[in-house]
Amino acid sequence: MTLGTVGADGAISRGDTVDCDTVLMSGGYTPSVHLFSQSRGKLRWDAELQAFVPGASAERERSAGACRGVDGLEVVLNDGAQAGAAAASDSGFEGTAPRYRAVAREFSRRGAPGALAQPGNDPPAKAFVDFQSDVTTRDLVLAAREGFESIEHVKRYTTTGMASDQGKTSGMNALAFVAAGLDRTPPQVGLTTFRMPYTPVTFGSFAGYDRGNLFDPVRTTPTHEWALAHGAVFEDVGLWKRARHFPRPGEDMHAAVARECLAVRSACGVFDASTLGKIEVVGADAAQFLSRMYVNNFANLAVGRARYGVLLREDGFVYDDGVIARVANDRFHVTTTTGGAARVLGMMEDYLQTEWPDLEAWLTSTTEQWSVIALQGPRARDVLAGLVEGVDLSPGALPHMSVARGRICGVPMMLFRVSFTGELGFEINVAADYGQAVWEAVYAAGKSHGITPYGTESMHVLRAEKGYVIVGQETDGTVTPDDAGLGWAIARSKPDFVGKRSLERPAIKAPGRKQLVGLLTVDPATVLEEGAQVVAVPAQSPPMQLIGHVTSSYASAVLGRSIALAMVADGRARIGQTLYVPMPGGDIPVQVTAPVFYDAEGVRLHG
Amino acid sequence: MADATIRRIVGLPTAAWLESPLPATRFILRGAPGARAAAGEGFGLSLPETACRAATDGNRAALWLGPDEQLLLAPDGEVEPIAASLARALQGHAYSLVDVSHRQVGIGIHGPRAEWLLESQCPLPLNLRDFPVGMCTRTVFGKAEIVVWRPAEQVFRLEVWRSFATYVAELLREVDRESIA
Repeated sequence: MTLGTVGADGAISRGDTVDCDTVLMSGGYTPSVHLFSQSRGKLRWDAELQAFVPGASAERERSAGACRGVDGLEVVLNDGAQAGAAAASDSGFEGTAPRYRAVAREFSRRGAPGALAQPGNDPPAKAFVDFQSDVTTRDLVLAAREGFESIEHVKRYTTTGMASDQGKTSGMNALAFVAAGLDRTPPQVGLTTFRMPYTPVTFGSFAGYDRGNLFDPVRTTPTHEWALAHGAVFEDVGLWKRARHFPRPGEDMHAAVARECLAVRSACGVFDASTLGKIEVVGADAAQFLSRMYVNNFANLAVGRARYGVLLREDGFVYDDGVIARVANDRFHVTTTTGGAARVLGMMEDYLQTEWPDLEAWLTSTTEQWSVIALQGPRARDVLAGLVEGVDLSPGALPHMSVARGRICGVPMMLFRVSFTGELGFEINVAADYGQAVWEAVYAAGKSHGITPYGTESMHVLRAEKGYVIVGQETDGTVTPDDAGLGWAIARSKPDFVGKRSLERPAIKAPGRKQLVGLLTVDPATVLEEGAQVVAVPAQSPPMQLIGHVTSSYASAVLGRSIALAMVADGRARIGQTLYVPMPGGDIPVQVTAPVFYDAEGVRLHG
Repeated sequence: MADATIRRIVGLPTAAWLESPLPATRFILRGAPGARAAAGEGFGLSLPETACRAATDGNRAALWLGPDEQLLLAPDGEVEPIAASLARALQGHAYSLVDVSHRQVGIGIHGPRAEWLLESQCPLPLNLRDFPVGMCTRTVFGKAEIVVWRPAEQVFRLEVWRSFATYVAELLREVDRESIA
């Protein structure tokens, strides 16, 4: 290796020759303007320093020290102190900059950006500029000759500055060399973008605390520990952990769900419904407000009674649903889907504040105030009878879709007579801190009645047997109430409600829309795949004419066969027809039915 | 009075600077402008008129959460008398009073590092100038929504929805653990 000394004019004088096995290379010295540039500040070319330095700021930042081209340890320290004091002063704080003294060996900026001529070579044809990408001056000359005159183009043509140092060693040298070759100043050739991060950042730094059990909040209900102790298998529903099923030793999910469903149909089951969203709507105009939000009418809902409500968006498509109970003349207890809790509250608040600020109605989320214990099945009343005080549980006093206040285990309770299973059903609401104790009391009282804890999977099967839709499963944001078989819920006499006008659009009323139907496979053992397509004509070759899709599909223990819900074009007119679900193994023939498979008359509900 | 023996309060991790959970009587009061002044009579302290400020008297506090929303805090077990007293005071006013005692969990943080611990995962500046004693607001801590209130220079009180309380307390502990190491 031959050493040399760089003169003031850039000329190199030949020096000693030494043996070596490693060469350390330097790109020279230039201010690190990355942070300034990333804050969208404009750089300024300093011809004397032969460097870009911070110019006009976009943010209220200040550059201090070497990054703005200031040299010398003492100068740099004092520059930093003064910039800090000035920033503090501009922010309204007092203080003066300390004065630093430093004795240090100063370094020299001697040298110039560009590429050094190698003695004996003229022009300097093969000096390395980008040490990582092995870009040489020859490559840069070629780029310029090819017409790449902007430094952004030169960079992409040669890959200079594209290695892991992101041009820290090569950027200025490449720029100066290209500028000199084009006989322009560096600012005329331009500057490549300083991208973040300045140095490689570990994934650990990006992740921070977002890992393990802190990656996301894990929301659990008041009965979580009980479910854990009783072998529940959980599923994630948003941030919630919900018990999916309670397998006994040796049971798979299919067996556990079949057992749980049969228990609800024949005796009674207990289910944690605490995650349902709850909103308390209070005020003289509460009924009026809800009548404007939901498709239903709430003005004529009596105190102590509940009604199934359907909420649309402005476009007329189903957005959420739930049971809404009138607990006092000016007070409603609204339930939403688990996933819709936050967005429904937000939507309602938005309408109240921006559309109807004149209404005397106020919203308060009570989702987590209440622990909700659903008790479902023909024996549900017998289980409750010995536990509650102050509530007449008889069908006459507390019919389906009603609510009463009372006490259970000595604590205040709101008791709903509601059902998402099609069986006689109650939902016990108690303040959340009492949830687990009341659950345990219900479980103990139910032992002699065959009480069985069930999870979300059985809940899905039980409601599908009854044709009850789940928003987000049967609906997908393009489904109207009529499509979902919920047209009966619309109070057509109301002057307006959210989405009403959209339901009058021609496309919404046109024939051919997908409608909710039931599908029964010809082979009762075949369980369709959810999401599978439905066709009218078998054995088509792609592209097939698709007329619908399967939204829910389960093995029903009580019916001893499979059932499915589907959205099918003109589905209600096709009831009785045979359609096909094309699968890799061949077309599966299915019979179109009404979407209620069990107790179509609803006798059990009113038990 | 509810049976205390069957009550199960959210269990949270412990630390010297962490006081939790804090059971309390809690109400959300919303209503027309006149309701606020009237409610003060019934609650026993003037509810704050200024945005993001709390008013306290003895062991009761009212936190301004919005132009028409106040969080009322009182010792545990006073739901019924406070509801009755407010109902009397607010007669004739348009308002909504909802018991949220069990909806959320109180988490107290105190000591010289309290401000720093909270700021680590909260986007708001919590220094004494920007967040003075008596200030309160809804904000976030990590990925959880919280209400934060500063009753004293080195004391903060968080009000967190119950299913987020474990996350908030454990995240606070994790931040604390890392900064000690």
